[in-house]
Amino acid sequence: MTAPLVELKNVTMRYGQVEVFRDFNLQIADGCHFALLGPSGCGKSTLLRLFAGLQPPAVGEVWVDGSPASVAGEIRLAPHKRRFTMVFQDLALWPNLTVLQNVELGLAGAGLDRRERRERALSALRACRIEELGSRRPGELSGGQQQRAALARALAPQPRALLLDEPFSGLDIAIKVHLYAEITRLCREFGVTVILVSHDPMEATALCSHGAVIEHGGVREEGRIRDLLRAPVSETLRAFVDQLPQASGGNH
Amino acid sequence: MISAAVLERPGRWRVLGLAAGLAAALLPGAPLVWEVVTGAGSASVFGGDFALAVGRSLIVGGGAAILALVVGFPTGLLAGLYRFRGRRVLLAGVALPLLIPSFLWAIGLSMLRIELGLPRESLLSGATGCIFSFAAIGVPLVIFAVLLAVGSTAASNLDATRLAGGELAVLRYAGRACFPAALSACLLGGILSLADPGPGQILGFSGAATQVLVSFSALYDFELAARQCIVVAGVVLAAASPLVWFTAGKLAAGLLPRNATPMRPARWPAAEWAAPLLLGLVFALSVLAPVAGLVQPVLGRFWLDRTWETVARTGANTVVYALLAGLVATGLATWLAVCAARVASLRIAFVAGLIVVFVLPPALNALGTALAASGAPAWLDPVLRSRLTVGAVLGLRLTPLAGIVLLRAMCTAPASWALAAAVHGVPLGTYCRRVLAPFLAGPIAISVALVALLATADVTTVLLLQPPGQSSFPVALFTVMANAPESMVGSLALAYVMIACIAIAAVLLVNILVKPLALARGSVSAT
Repeated sequence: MTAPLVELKNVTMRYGQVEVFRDFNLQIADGCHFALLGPSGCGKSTLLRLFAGLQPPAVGEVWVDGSPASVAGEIRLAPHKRRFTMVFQDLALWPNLTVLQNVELGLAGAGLDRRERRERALSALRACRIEELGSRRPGELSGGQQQRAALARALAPQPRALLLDEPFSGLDIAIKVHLYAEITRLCREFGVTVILVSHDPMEATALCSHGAVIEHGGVREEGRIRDLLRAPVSETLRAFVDQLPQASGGNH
Repeated sequence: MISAAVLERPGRWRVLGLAAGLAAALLPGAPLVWEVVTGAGSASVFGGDFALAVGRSLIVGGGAAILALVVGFPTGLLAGLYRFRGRRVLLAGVALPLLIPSFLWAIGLSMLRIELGLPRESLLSGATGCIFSFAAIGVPLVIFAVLLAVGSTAASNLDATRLAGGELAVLRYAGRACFPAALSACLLGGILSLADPGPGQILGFSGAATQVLVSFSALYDFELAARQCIVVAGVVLAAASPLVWFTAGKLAAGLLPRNATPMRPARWPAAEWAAPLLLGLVFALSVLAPVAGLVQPVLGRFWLDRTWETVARTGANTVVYALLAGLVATGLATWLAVCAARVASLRIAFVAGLIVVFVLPPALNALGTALAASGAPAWLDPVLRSRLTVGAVLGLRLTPLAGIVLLRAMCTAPASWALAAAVHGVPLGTYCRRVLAPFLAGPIAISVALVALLATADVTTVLLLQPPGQSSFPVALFTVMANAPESMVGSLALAYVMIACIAIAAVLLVNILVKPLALARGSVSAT
């Protein structure tokens, strides 16, 4: 049996006196498109930072590819060595660099020479259909274009996993739907595992096959998203399902 | 490889770096404190006039602070909340005293009194003259503190208040919100006056700072000067401690970026005449009146040759001191901001430390450095007895101004930039060079310019530390004013005011030109 891509073992996280979660366990398989759902402040983004190696757990271990990558208070495997990339909530595009330079600098840890970096960056821009925007700065792009630029930067190093930290907040529904399709296409094309953090189950259903709902400091329910929505247990999913229009009832 | 994420993680290096940086800013004064604490001499500093001088300093400081608050607070509130014709020019005009050494205003008031034929005991001399001179600096401090505080108010809050109760409600709401900033600024103005010897010496109301200068420069009693300086520092710190206690946390929180649209000045018919009237009055009393005094003796004769010779002789030194000060202050402030920006408790400690550094008398650092230099071997002269020394000591004293600018800038940089760099394997050095440094370039340039402009007005540090023949323009003026004809002093003083006007005009021009350019490049938000 192959080891999960990433695994949390009895992880506890605290911010000052506030305990975000305790004895938290979770496994995400390689190649899976996995959604972490939950209300604001439940620690979803913290989970992504634990996976990425941006912060260590207070207690417990984070395993990547069957080896301990972070243990209590210590990061053993540096973020860029995990081959995970991330699209941040605010996209984190470096504002003084052009889109092409953003993608090229994002390849700093890939061990490529300058020419290879340029080719890889251009290829990522082409894949994300923003080749013509390479010379622009992030401040000169629309919201949707910025999303694509961030996506290009994240996909250019050919990561094993793409971590998405609520990257669609603030976009209108038409652009969102378009981007869901694009991301699904690109991740299939690049063979990337997707871990999405969102408070919106609709996003999860559009992008992911599996998911877990985080509530009250632990995993409330976990499995195939289709199954979770069929018989929701968590408050998050029940609230979502309750407000969906019922196909069989009413005056329709 | 050091990961860029280190910039966003907590760590002991932050505390150590902050402590080391603040200690560096206080280091020049350390030899003096050590000498006094361990010295054998036990003569009381309170002999003679010194206790009286301390009392006079407190009267002047308190009076200047109250006057600055009473005048500056309503003026700043109206100027911050409302648009009116000539707003930028009037604000630039009232900022002028910040670039001028306080003793020049005192000279101006003294000359004005003579021209008006007023007796020595009139309002323009003695305690009230000193209060007016220092209020000329305190009022713009309060006005600009209130402007900054008003500017960081959320537009939605003001709109909601406006809908609920009209403009008077807006004034009440903004007034309550900005009063702590105004109070802090007026206290700061008062405290700064305690360490400034100029106006007291000229207007016949010598304070403690004057006594320190006299002990060192006229009596050549270094030990007495050192002891007096420590007493002044103690008084200033005691006066500043409530300021540190009450405002450090608020100021540190106020420096954080807010996720709300900041307010923009609105139109209000009443403010369209009231605001320019108040600003015009401030400008007339704090700038035009002293300048009128300076002009009178010059009407008979303007010493063009002597003025030009003095400017030519001291101009390069003045610029070198100012630029060195700007670079030292900004370099240290950048390091301090990197250490403190991401941890709330360190931000408060940083701001508290900055206030302490800023309010200490400049003579403390200068005399401490002079003491260290007097016992140091000759090969240390380039470090302890050179123009570099003067610039560095000036810079360390003005680090707080640069610190506020850089801390604000560092707080504005999202944590996700460095985290993204870490995820992508961008080394710390590359991240700093390619992302952080370009982002901080604007605030760094502003910080260097601000410190350099304010450093040009310093007298105490340059006077006590200048290498032979390397005087700055204000010090040259300060040293000739007692013996030179009034018309020559007036000529030099007017030349200084004109240079300061040119500097203000240049800043105004850059302010007018740069924003549209930045908007066109898309590097600042259009909102």
